[in-house]
Amino acid sequence: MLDLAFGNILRHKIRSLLTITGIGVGIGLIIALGSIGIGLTSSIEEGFSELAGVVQVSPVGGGGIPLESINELREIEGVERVVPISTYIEGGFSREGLILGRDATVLIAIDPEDQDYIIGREIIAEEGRKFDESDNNEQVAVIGRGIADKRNLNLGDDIEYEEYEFEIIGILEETSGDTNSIFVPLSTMLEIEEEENIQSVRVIVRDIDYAEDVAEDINENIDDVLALSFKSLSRQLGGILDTINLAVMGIGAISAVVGGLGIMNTMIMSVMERRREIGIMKAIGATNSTILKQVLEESATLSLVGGALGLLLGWIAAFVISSLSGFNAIVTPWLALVGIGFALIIGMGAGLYPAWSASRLDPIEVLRYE
Amino acid sequence: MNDNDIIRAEELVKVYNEGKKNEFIALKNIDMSVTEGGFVSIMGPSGSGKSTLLNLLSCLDTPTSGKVYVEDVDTDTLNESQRAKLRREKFGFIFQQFNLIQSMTAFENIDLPLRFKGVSKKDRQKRVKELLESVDLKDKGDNRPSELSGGEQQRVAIARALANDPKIILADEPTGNLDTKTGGEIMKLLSNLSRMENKTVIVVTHDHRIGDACDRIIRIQDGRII
Repeated sequence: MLDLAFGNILRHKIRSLLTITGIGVGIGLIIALGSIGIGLTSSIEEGFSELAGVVQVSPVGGGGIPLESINELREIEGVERVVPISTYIEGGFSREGLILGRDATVLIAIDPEDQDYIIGREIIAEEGRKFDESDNNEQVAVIGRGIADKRNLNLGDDIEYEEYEFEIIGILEETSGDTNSIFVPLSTMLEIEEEENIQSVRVIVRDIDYAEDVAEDINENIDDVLALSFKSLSRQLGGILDTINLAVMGIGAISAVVGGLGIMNTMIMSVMERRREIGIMKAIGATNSTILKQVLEESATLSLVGGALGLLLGWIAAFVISSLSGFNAIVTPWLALVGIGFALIIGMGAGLYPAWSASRLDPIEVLRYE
Repeated sequence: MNDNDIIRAEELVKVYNEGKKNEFIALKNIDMSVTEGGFVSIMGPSGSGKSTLLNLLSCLDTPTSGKVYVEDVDTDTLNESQRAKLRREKFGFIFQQFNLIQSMTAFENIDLPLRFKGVSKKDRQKRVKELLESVDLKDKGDNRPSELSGGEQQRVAIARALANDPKIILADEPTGNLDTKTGGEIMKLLSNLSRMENKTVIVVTHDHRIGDACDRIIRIQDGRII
């Protein structure tokens, strides 16, 4: 009977087109907004995946993390490596807060043994060399390409930090990430600043799956530190994103439901106009369920065509957003399925009342009076 | 009562708006039967209850009391969809207003009862072609009702009524909207169905000339057979 449904839809081309557009815009909105959400989530997950096996340990209150705590961290089960990092900013902190001019020098102090975990094993020195053990307690620096170009620094030049000078022994190669870092040996900085405590510690776990357990262990067993796994951070962020996605897709869903009201309106009108026709069909032997099915098929067809239009509109919108913003809006098969499925559900829902009322028409009444 | 009865009504009563102020008794205790292959007319002035009787016989409507038997089946016992099935398989309907579906071609109109029955597309096409030929409209299959004359439209309606090869043809004032000559042709077609193909034909009319063409006349007045 599907050809009858098509026939009825084609009978009122403009009305059908408007109805289809109504649901199409709604589904298109769901697809477009959904694709932005999926793109956002996936880019954040990608960013966090590199850090999934990292637990960030920060001191609670001022004063940093004492050496004993760092040694205790090494004893925690599942810990592969403990990487202390301190960051020093020229000018330091004032009463107004952080003084960070455009050209303020920021030093990242690390243990030369840990450089693979911070700089990255695969990143090589384009000029000079990376750290080795002999650099401990020396005033030397390894810098990124970006800052070298920006400040016009060459191998052998000095980086000034307060009254101290650090000789550049290596310039790292260009990478896609941030290349404005200045790395110096941790031991040198502790000596200069007359400090014993470390500002923060990055704990690398042996098994990514246990990152959150390790963080929990640290919080339970070591005083005055707060351990946070990037994994749970990303999970929390993911949860927030999911909520935002849902809310945003809800806006699309409302618009699609409004499209559904359009279908309902069209179907009610269509049934009203065809009262006589339906009466004739029933008189010559169409059952109630035949009529019900025919009207439902018609509204399902409208909504499916609308859903397909919405998919196209949403996909175009995702494409335009992606190419204009450089941000990746992704239409996944799942999202497409949700869009079409939602259209179908709305179409069937909207057709239910008109179909029911059509199937209940009394042929005698209709044929007598009309 | 006769073993050859194909349709039979017993003590049929139909009351509209029962118990209300505007209560109206359309049929009072009707007993009647039609034998298979019969060509019968139900005659009476307008408002006499003849259309009500036809609606009851064809299971379009249910009686207030009394029974209708179609081929000895008590139609009281059938549910709505069984009655719809009965209508499309045992009965063929012909109306004064033709009641063709305006948006469909002659072919599609004749095809409709076959679709409702669930006949395959191939068989349907063959059957509709046969039917168009049998009512002399071989070349008009693609025309819509508005492109056909009154007589042609009624012939399409007759072809539609015959689609599922029913045993009983029910015609409600089939010539009421036609000129005398065309009306005569339609009556001839109906009489042929009874005489040549052993169909039972029941014609409701108030026109004596039509009644006289039938084998038997059931006269009805004020809801009673007289």
